[in-house]
Amino acid sequence: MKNQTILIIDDNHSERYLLKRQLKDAGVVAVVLEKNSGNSALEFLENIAEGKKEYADGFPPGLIFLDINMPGIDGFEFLEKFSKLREEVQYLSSVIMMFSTSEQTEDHTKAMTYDFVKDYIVKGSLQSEQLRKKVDEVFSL
Amino acid sequence: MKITSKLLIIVVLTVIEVSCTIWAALEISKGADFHRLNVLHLKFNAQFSNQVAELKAGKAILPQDLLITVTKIRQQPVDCLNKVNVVDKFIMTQIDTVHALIICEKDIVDADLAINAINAFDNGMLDRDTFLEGLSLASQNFSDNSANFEQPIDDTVSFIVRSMIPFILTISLLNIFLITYLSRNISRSINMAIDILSQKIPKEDMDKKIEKNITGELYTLLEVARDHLKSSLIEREVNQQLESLVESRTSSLQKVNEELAQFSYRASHDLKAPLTTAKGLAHYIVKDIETGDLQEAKANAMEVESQMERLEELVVGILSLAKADLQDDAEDVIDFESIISEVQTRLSSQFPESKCKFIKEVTVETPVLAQRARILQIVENLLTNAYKYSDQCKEHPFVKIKVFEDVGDFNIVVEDNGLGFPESNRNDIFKMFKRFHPNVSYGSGLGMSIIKKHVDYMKGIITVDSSREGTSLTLEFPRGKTT
Repeated sequence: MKNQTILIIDDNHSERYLLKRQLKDAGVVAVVLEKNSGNSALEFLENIAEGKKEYADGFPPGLIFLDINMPGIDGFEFLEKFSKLREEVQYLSSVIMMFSTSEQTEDHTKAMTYDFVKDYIVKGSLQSEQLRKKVDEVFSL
Repeated sequence: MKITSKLLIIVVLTVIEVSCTIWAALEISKGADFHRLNVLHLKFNAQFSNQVAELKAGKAILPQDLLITVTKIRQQPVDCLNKVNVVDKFIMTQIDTVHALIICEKDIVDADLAINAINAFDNGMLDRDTFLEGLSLASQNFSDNSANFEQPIDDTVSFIVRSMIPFILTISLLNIFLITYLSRNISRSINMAIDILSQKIPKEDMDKKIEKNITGELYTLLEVARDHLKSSLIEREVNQQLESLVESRTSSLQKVNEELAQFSYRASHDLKAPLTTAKGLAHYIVKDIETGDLQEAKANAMEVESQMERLEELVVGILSLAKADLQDDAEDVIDFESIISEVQTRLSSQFPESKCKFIKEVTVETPVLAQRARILQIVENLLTNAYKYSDQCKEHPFVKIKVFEDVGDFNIVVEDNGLGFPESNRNDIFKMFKRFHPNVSYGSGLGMSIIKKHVDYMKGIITVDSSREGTSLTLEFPRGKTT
C-alpha cells in the first residue's frame, strides 16, 4: 500500500492544527505535512529529489488541502502554478481539496475549473466521518 | 436707413401715384359729363327754338310747356356748376378757362330772364311781340352759350390729361426705380449679413464687422438672435456640465459601492476566520479536558485567547478605518515630540523583546496645523508596522522616524531595516486586509489602508521604497493654513 501523504497549505498554524487533529480523530492513516505559504509549498513540491528521498512513494502528496486567503500568493495563484507543475512533472495523482472560510460561490466555481480540484470544503462545516469518507475516496482511486 | 422707413417711402409714393391717377380719371369723366350736359342743353334749346318758331307761326303753345323746356335748359348749367369744386375752379383760373363757369352763370341768368318773360306774358304784363322777341333772344343766347362752353371745357380736360399723364408716369417710374433700388438694397443687406456670419473669423472681428456693416432691423434681429442663441447655449452648457457632474458623481458612487462590497467581503471573511478557529479549538479543549490531556487543552486555550486578540485588533482596525473617513475635528498645532513619545511607550509594551533601536529626529520649526487624531494614527501605524516587520535576525535592527519641513510642506519619514514589502506585491500595499509575511500573521492588514486614508484626506503623498534590506516610507503633506 502506498504511503499516504497529506499536505496542508494554510498560513494560520491553528487552522493547520485543527485540520490535522480532525484527520487524526477521523482515523485517517497518513503522514500529514504542513506548509504555511503557497511559495514554500511549491518549493517543496518542485524539489522532487529531496521529496522522494524523504517520503519515497509518499511524494508527491496524494491529497493537498489548500487555503485560499493567504499572504504572499493566495490559493488561486497556487492552483495556477501547481497546474503547470503538475503537467511538467506528471503529478497526476496529486489532488486538491480547497479548504477555506469563504462561502462565496464565485470562489467555489473558480476553484472547480481545475480538473485536479476534487472538492471545496468550508472550514468548520465538516464532521469527522464526512472528512474521513472524502479522504478515503481520494486514496482508494 | 431702416427697412421700415424705406418701405414707408415706397408706400407713400404709391399712394400718391394712385391718388393722382384716380383724380385724373375723375376729372376726365367730369369733362365728359360737361359735354353731356352741354349736349342736353343743346337738345332742350333746340326744343325751345321749335316752340318759339311755332309760337311765331301762330301755333298755340302753352306757357307751361315753355316753362318746362326753359327749366330743363336752366338745369344743365346748374348741374355743371354743382359739379365744379374748389380745385377745378383753381385750375381753370390758372389756365384761363374759368369763363366756362361764367358762361354757365350767364346761361342761368338768361334762363331766369326767359322764365320771367314767360310768367310776365302769362300774367298779361307783357305784349306778344316783346315776348316773342325775348324768347328768340333767349334761344340765341342759349345757343351761343352752348357753343362758347365747349372750348374751355375741352381745354381744361386736355390740360389735365396733358399734365397728369406725365406726372403719373414720372411718379410710377420713380416708384419702380425706388422699389427696385430698395429691394436690391434690402437683399444686399441680408446677403451681407449672411456673408459676414458665414465667415470663419474670431468672434471679436465678426462683432466689429457686424457693428460696422449691418444696421437697422437686421442688426436688431442679429442681436436678438445672438442673445437667444447665447441663452440656449448657456443652457446647453449648464446641462452638459450638470450631466458630467452627475456622471462623475455616479461613477464615484459606483466606486464607493464597489469598495464597500469588497470591504464587506474581506471584513466578514477576516472576522469569521478567528471565530471559526476559536470554535474548533474550543471543541478540542473540551475533548482534551475529558481525556485528561490538560497540557494540550491549556495550549489550545491560549491559542483561543490569541485568536480573540486578533479578532479584537481587527474590529478596532475596521472601526478606525471607518472613522478615518468621518473624522472632522478642529485642527491644532501638532506637537510631534509628544505624539512620538506616546506611541513609543505603547510600542515598548507591545514589543517588549524587540531588539530594535529607536531613532527620532524632529526638526520642524514653523508650527504645523492638522488634526491630532490623524497624525497620531499615522505615526502609530507606521511605527507599529516597522516594529512588527523588523528583522530580528539582522545585526542592528532599527526603526527611525524623521519629521522635517520643506518649502510649503512637512514630511514624516519612517525607515527600518526590516523584512520589507515583496516586490511583486508593491501595488497591493495599501489594499485593505493585505498582509505579506505568513510568519508575522497577526495584525489586521489594515494599517496601511488607515494611513492612506489619512494621507488622502490631508492631500498628501506617500512614497514607498522597500527591499529585503528594509523599508522607507515618506509622507509629504502640504501645509494648509499655518501660522
